[in-house]
Amino acid sequence: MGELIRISNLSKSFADTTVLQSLDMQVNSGEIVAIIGSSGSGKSTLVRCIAGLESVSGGEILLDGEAVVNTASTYGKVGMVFQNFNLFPHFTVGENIIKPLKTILKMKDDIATEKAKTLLDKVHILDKFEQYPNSLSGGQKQRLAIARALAMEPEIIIFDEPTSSLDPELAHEVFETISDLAKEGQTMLIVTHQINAIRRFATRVVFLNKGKIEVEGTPDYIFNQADNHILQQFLKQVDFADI
Amino acid sequence: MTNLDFTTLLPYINLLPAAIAITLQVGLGGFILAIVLAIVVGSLRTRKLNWAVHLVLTAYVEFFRGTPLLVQLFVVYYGLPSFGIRIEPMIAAIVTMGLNSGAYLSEVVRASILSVDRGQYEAAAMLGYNSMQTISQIILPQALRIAVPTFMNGFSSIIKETSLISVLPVIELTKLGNQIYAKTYHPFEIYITMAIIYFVMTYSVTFLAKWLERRLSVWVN
Repeated sequence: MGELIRISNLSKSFADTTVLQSLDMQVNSGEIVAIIGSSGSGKSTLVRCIAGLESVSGGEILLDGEAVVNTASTYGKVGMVFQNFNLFPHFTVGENIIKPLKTILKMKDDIATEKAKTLLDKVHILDKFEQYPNSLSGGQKQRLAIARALAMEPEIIIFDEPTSSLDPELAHEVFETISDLAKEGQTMLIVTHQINAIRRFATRVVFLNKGKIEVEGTPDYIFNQADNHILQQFLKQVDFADI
Repeated sequence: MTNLDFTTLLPYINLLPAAIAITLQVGLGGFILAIVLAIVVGSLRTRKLNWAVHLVLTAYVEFFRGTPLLVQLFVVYYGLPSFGIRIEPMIAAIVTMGLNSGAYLSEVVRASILSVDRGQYEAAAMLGYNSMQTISQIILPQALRIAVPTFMNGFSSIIKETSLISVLPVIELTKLGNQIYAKTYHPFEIYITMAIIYFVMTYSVTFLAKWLERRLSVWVN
């Protein structure tokens, strides 16, 4: 497993508010890293910095050995699945995948269409191919967002609270899809509060507190063994419902 | 009370199609120019620009929104020849109407672009779209759907405002009405007829707008 992301001494501030401070972390190919922490701990800011959506205030993020400065530097390597899906509403389900393939990868129409159909079949929404995203359920929207990210064949997919806006049943659908990707060895970075879901497939869990890594380790270590007061408090608060 | 006599208009009825055609040509020409200007200027004004470009675009928008269309027509048709720029009356009319309406509609485009969710830019950036591709393929189609009702209102306004070009040597509907009035002295019959023709034209635009809105709203949540 080669090193894919190396984060050194990362800090990020918005005006006078420090969100991340002196953070060091690495992600290797094939890993599924779950980032957990209470609201305001800096989880989303961290993954947004890795994706190039936020500039860093200090330190550096290396992706395949090259510094991440903006989304241009992560293009082709990082795929992103957002909390609010951010699907293109004016494109049909199929076009949400086909158009980027044709525009960005200059793929021919028939090849792009074939690829889109394969991916939509994989996330079980091929029957929605010609519909617009407004006709999909929340879970289907998020699965389309995952298929769209997969289409660009990124080295890593970042999920920023992918199920926060979904009810448990729909969240379950999404985690089933993520679980399938995990079996295929897709490198993933997942920000979530769904403890039971990530327990099943995360290879490592990182617990953030006040912009720093408080504790990290295997799911078993984090959820059963780690003797950390702040982590224990956090785990008591989050939803343990089996999804 | 004067007896109304619409038959006095009959000898001139054959002149109507040409006048209507000119009204529509100026209205449609001005509207197309306005759309192009509105999209270009409105899109540019949502971005961080070089100060000189920003100044020019702001000056254009503010000048055309802050001065009467009639005066603008005078400046373009009667004023510019002082600088050796002589423009055909039809062209002057279309250009002035387009510039005037484009200034208003550019603000609509700007506001519509700003109302598109920030997440759309981020999703496009993560897929590898550059800023030009993002604006043309992702943002503008969504922004223009928001802008369509105001655009169609703009088209209705242009059709009505074409009556102002009667001050130029162009025989459009209002000018034709004035000429018939000078010969017949039946102002009510003439101008009410003209008003009805304008109304039919602008009301047809309302139907077109509704049809367009329905078509473009198929993907709206």
